[in-house]
Amino acid sequence: MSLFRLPAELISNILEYLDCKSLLAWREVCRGFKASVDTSSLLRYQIALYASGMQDGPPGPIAVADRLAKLEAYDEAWRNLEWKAHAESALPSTSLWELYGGIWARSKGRKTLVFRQLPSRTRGVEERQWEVATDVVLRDFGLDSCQDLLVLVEKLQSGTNLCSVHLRTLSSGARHPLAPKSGILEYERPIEDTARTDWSYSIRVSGDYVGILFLNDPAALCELFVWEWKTGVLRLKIVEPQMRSFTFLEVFYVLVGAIESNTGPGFPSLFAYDLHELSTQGLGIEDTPSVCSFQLPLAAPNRPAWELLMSCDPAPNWFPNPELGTPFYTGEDDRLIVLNLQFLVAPVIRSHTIVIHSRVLSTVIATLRRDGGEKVIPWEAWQHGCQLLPEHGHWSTWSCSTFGMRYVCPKPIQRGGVRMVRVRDFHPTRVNRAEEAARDEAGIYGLPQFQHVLPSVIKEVPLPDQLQNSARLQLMISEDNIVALEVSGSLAQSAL
Amino acid sequence: MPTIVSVDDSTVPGEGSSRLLLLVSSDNKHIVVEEDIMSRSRFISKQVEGFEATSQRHAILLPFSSFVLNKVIEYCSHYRGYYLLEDDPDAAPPGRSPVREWDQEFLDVDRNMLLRIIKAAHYLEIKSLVGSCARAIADMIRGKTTEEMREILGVENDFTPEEEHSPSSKCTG
Repeated sequence: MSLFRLPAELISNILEYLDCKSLLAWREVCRGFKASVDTSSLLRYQIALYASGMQDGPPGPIAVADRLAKLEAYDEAWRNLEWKAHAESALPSTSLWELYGGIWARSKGRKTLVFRQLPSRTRGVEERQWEVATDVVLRDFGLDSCQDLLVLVEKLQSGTNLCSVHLRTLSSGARHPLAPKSGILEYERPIEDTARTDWSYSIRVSGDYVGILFLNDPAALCELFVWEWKTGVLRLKIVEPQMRSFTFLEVFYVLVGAIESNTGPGFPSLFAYDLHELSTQGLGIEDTPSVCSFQLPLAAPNRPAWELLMSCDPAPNWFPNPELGTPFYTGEDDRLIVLNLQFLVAPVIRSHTIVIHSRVLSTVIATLRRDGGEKVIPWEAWQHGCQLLPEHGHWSTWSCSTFGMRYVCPKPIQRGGVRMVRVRDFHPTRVNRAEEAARDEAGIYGLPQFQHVLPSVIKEVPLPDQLQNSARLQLMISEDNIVALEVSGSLAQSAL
Repeated sequence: MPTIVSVDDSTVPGEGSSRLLLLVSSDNKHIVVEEDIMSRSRFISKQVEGFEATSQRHAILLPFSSFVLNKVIEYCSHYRGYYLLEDDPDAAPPGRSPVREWDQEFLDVDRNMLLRIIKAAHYLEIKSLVGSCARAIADMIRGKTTEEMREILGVENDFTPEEEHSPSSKCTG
């Protein structure tokens, strides 16, 4: 007896219990099986979600067949990178700004923020703009649309070293209902430094955690704070001059980038900390108990790194604001962590961009947690999940060059008088689906210890005409848009 | 084809108040079973409603062997009196059936038997059993390659070589 004899209804019943990978194998068994999948919108949608690395959105009025059509259009749009819309807006040079989770935000004056929900044609997200007038003199801010959270760092008053971080709602600027009663996280800065105003801030929100990294030059007083924002409890404090950047890795881990560590002859490293373990004494990066550290390569022996920048969006477990009713969104499992590693080769600075599949780090950590072992992970042991990019160019600290598994080269690329936007897609199933010609698998681009590569698909398209002559563009990427920041002070955004 | 046999309830000893049904399998075996055991089957329930409407009870002919039928009766006897959401005609259609340990053991049979049971359960409209069988079949092939699936399910590859290599038949890897 063969499955062939089963009524179609039963076949689709069986397929409901299969994962997408098995469904794809099933589809290739024979003609009848292929038809059993291809005639079902639900199964095709499940396969398409898997193949495009997306996740189904909240239940809503959008029918499965409609979701499938939108997903195919979305996928197509990213494959072809055809501009569907273009908008520009001015950005005063004194403005603070932020691009996160499809929201572009900038400050207006000293206390007001302007938010703009970037639109998506294919996912049916409407553009929306709103202003939040706060009572806080802003030094910097961060946001998380899925929790309606706005994190405001208040400008430090002279003569005090007690700083305040205000937890507000993104929609209205009121105290966030889930924040502690005061709505404020407080922290102390060393008194000798409070007079300075040239601090850089790096603010990230991931689920229950808010992390703020204070950077300055000289770097002697760089500090990282991570709070559980709903209780106001400080979980992690690190004081370390070598510290340059941080991001969240999975729900409970923080990844901190340091340009030099004692783990080897001056290797730059990524340190992973577990937020279950309370470490608030403000120790150095090596003295704070870490899960492990990932060594990074050097450009040449005895030439320490000069800067280590990190870009990784969105945060683990991020999901879009449910009110948007998006039919699907970027999946949880895969993220790129993109590093910009800079070396001083007098008189110039050379920078290398290293792309890491977050899952490689998670896997190493999980294995270490289960089996124990050496805590310093040499570069050779984890570089198989990385790619070194040939396109160089410095970033600014606040570059948003990656979203999910896509990366946009921050600088336009010259091709015979035309300036191109280059987007690389590292998602494994999307890479597998791409035609051979578009893939980029070879790549030993300069760092001597580099052997393995993470394959990607490259797509280049000319910048929109309006931007061909703009000087000093910095390109950024979100879930649906390519955003170009003109350093002279305007913002252009081209939607897919 | 077996002939339709009239059944007189009073001639068959029953237990409690449940009436008896006569089921006839494709190999012409007559199997007597209590009506409430089989009430899980929408098909049987509809037949019984028909009997009541016409005040005429007769044997129910089924297109599968007594071997399979006995297996289905075993299932229905095990869950006699149990409420299973999938079998509630008034409940909203549920998605996947939950994992039920007893079912897993009960369905630990060879492939052909499993396919026969799911067909019988489908015919009899016993959704809980269809769900458990579907889960069991999916378990056999989950994570397997296309080639392994062909072997497990005994299915021939009927794609032409051109079709097999065309991009439309290969969705992703």
